[in-house]
Amino acid sequence: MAERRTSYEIYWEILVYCRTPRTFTAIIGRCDLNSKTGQEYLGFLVSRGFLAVEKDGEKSTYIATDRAAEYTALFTRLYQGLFDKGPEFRV
Amino acid sequence: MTDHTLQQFGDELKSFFVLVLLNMAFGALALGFGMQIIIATFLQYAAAEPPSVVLSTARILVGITGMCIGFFWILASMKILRGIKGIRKEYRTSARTGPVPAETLTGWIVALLAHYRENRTVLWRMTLISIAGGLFYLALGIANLVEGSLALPAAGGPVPSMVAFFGAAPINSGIGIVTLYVALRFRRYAGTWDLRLKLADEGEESLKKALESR
Repeated sequence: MAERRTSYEIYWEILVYCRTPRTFTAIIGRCDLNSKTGQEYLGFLVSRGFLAVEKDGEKSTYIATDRAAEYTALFTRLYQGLFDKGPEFRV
Repeated sequence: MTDHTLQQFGDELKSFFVLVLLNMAFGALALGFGMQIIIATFLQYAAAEPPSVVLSTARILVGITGMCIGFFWILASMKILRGIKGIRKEYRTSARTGPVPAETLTGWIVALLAHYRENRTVLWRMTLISIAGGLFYLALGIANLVEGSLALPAAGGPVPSMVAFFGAAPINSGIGIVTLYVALRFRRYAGTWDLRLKLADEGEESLKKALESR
């Protein structure tokens, strides 16, 4: 999904994907980010305590923390609410 | 909440997919009609009595307009269709295989929202093209009626060749009315998603707070 997403949507995608440990390459591949923006997003999430870095020898992986669950739950509620509370469309 | 949301999401996706397909079909018809008008005009020059230059120029212009409308109509529909095809495929596969996790559904909503943000202008343009196409078909229907009515006294009464005029008139007018209806639905769709974008923007404040709280 390379289309126009907001940064909040990208944070949500990263956090949901990182429920199991993921490498940097896997995250930017899955979330359709380039290295530079990927670093920025991951750096922010790590600095805020939403992601933890696990080192396994040479390899580093990212995993979502308990704090991330609060954000993803809020995000899910908000976005599903767009269909529940918002207007309806049908032919 | 997920079941109801999923149902509504699926219904909307289906409705929108049908609308886009209908648009492509109407676009192809407009392209075909435009081409047919141009070819028929050129063929008349081979007849014993060639048509007047003014009339044939007008016909060719109508034909070119129809072709242009049809061409852009198809292009716009294809662009929209490409964006929702992937989501629709995932939705159909997941809905068949069992319960859909809340995250998967939210992911589809995010994808559709991003698709709408990206194609907002194209969708509004497509609404305008649909209106132009609908009016084109209605004009064709009316032209069929007028041509048939003008030919009636000259032929001295109803003859089998009149069937072409009086048969085409309701068909073209019918397509025109359906196309205008589709244009209205597109407007409704765009209006619905504009409101959702607004609601999502309003919700960003709480997401920002959640991200920045310690």
